[in-house]
Amino acid sequence: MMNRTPSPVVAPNIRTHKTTQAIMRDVCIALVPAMLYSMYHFGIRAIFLVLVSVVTCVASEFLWEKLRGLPITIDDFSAVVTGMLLAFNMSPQTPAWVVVIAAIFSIIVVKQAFGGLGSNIVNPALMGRLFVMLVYPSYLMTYVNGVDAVATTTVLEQVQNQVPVTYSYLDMFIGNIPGALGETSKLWLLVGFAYLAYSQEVNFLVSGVYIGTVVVLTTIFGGDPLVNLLSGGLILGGCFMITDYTFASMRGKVFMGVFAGLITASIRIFSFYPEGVCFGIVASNCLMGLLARFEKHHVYGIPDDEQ
Amino acid sequence: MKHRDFKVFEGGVFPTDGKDKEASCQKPIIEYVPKVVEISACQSGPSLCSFIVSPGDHVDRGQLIATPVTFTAVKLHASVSGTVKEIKTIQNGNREIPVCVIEADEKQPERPELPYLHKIVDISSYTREQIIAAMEEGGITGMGGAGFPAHIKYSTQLPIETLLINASECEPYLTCDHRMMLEHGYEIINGANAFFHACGAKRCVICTEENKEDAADYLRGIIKAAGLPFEVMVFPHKYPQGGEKQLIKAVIGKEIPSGRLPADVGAILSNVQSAKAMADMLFAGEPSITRCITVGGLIDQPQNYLVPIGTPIRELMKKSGGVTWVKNKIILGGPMTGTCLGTDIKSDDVTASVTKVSGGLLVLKRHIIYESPCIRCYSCVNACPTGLQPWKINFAYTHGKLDLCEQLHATECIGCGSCSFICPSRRELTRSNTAARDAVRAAIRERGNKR
Repeated sequence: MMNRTPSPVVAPNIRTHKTTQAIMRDVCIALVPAMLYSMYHFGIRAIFLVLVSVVTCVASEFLWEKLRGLPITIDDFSAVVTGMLLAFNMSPQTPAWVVVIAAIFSIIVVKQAFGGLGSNIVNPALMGRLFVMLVYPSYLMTYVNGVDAVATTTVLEQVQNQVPVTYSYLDMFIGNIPGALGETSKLWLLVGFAYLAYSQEVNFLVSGVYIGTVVVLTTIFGGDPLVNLLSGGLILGGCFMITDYTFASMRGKVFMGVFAGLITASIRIFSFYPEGVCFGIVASNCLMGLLARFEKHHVYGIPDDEQ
Repeated sequence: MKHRDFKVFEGGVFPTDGKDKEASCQKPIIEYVPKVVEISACQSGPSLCSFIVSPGDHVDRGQLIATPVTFTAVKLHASVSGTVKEIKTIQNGNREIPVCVIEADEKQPERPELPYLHKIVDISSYTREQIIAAMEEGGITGMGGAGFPAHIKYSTQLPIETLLINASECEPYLTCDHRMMLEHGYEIINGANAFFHACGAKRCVICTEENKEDAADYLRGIIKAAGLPFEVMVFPHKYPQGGEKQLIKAVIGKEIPSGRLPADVGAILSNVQSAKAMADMLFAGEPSITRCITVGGLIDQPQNYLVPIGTPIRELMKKSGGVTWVKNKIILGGPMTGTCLGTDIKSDDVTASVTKVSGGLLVLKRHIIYESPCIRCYSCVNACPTGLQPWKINFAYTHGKLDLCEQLHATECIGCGSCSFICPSRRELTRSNTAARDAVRAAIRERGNKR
C-alpha cells in the first residue's frame, strides 16, 4: 500500500463504508460455513486444498505485482476469494499440485494478464478450474462421498447415465453426496449467501434468474427440478460466481442470468458432461463486455435519438 | 400522509441514516452577531464584486458596499452597522479576492416588528417590475448553493408555468432550511408569494423531503389559512432530491433539455432562504445580509445560527464549542458538494467567512483515501441521477480522450458526488467527471468561437 499516493481531499466529503476490501472480506466470510462443512464431510484434506489454493493465489498475485513493479493489492482479499472458490470447485481427491497449477493459471493468465482486479473478463476461479479440467480430466472427474476414498458417481452422473438417483433430497440439501469440495452443502452455501444478502453486497436478481432458468429448462426436458436444483454446482455458481461483479445494469443482469442458464441447462441435458455451471457462467461472462458496449443509457436532458 | 406517488428521479444515493440531522434540527436557531465581519467580494463560484467603501468609513446595516463586476454577482450590503477597518486580499486557489472587514458597533439597530413576520400580506399593489427591481437592489441570490442572481432569473421573457420553492435540503447534516421553515414560515410564504407574482406562474410548489414532515405541515397550515394557491409536496428522502434538474423533473415531469435553463420548460426554482431574503427586502427594506447556517459534525454543540453575511468561520467554530476530533477536515457547504477549507484544524486558523450560499459548516473525520482499481460493480451508473456512466468518463478523461467524454455526455454532469460516494474502490469519479465536464464545455465554446 505504501507506494500509492492518497487522493486529495475533494468533495464528496463522506464516502460509503463499503469498500472493495470489505466486499471481498464479506464474500470470504460467507464461504466459511460451506468450507467447514466440507472439512466435516471430506476430512481434513478439504481444508488442506483450500489452504493450498488460497496461498498459491495470493502468492502468485504478490509475485506478479512485485516483478512488474505494480502496487501490491493482495490486501484487497480478491485473491483469497478466487483461491477459496477455486478449491470449492475441485474434487476433494485432486492432488495438491493440480490445485497449484489451477491457482497460478487463474491469477496470472485469467486475472493479472488482463489487468488485474476488475479488468479480468471471466471469473478467474472458474476459468482455472476449466483449465485443469481440460488438461487433467481424470483428477477432476473422480468424486468420492465422505472421507472414504472410494470413487462414486455424482447425482448428475447418475441422472446422465439414467440410473436411479441413490441420494435423498435431504442428503442433497445437507451435502451428504459426492461432488466438488465446496458445492455439496446447499444448506451452508445458502447460509453464506444470506449473510451476503444481509450485507447487501449481492444482486439477488441474477442468482434467481440463473437458477430459475436452469431449473425450468431441465424440468421441461424431463428432469427432476429438485435434483437439478440441489445437485452439482448450481447453488454455488448461482450464489457466489455469477454474482461476481460484471458491468451490467439490471436488464443486463437478467440477460446474463438467462444466457448462463441456457448454456448450463443445455450442457446438463444434451452434452456428455454431466455438469454445465462452469461453462454457463464463463460463457455469459464473455458476453458482458459486448452487452455493456451496446447498452443504451438515458441521459437527463438528451433526447433519446441523440444518445 | 406520505406522497410517494411522484415520479422521482432514477439513481441517487442514501448517504447517511438521517441521524446526523437530529443533532441540530431540534434546537431553535440562535441569532448571533460577531464583533467583526469579513465580507468576501466573491460570494459564489466565479462571481466577483468591487467594494465602493474605503477604510475608516462608517456604514449602516444594509448600506450598499459593493457593486457587481461579473454577470453572476449581485450587490453586496453591509451586514452590520460599524466601521470599515480594512479591505484586505485573501488568496483563494489561484484567485485573489478582496475582503471587506467591518468592525461592528456595540449597539446594532433593532429590527422593527412588521406585519409580514406574522401574517400573509397583500402584495397586489406591487408590480412585477417593482419586485424584480427589489431583487436587484437587495442582492437576492440563489441561496441553495449555486448563487445565481434572482433578478436575472426572474426577468425571463419565457412563460413560466410553475414556481418551485426548494426546501429539499437533501444533503446530510444540514438542517438550516428545516429550522427556517419552522421558525420563519410567514416570511418564507410571503417571499414565495412575491416570487410567484414576479414570474407570473400558475402554480407554486414548495418541495420538501419526508424527514421535514413537521415543517411541511406548518407551511400547509399557513397556506391554507391565507387561502393561497400554493401546494407543499413531500418527496422521499434521497440524495440529490434537491438538485434543480431532479426536482423539476419530479414536479412537472419534464426534463430540462441539455444546455437550457429551467425557464425553457416553464419552471423556475428558488431556495427557501432566498424567499425569506426576498420578503425581508420587499417588506422591511432589508437587503440580503443574513443567512442561516448549520454548524455540525464533530463539533461540541451542533447548532443552526442566523448570522450576518461575512461572519468569520473561526467565530462560529468557537461559538459552537470547538472541534472534538483532531484528524478532521472543515467543510463549507454540505458534505456531498462542499469545499474543504482545511484539514487538522484546531480552532482558529481558517480564513473563510460565511457567504450567501454557505448552508453549512461541518467538521468531519478525515480519512486517508487511496484509489484502487475499478471492479466493474456498476454502482456509479446506478447512482448517477443524470444517467451518466461515471466510470467510463473517468477512464476517458484520465486517458485524455475528450471526444469520448463528449460522446458520453460528460457536459450533463451535475457534480452531485453520488458516484464518488458509492464507489467501493474509492475512485475520485466526481472530480474527474466535473473536470471532464468543464473541459468539454470549454472545447465546445472554443469550437463555437472558431466558427
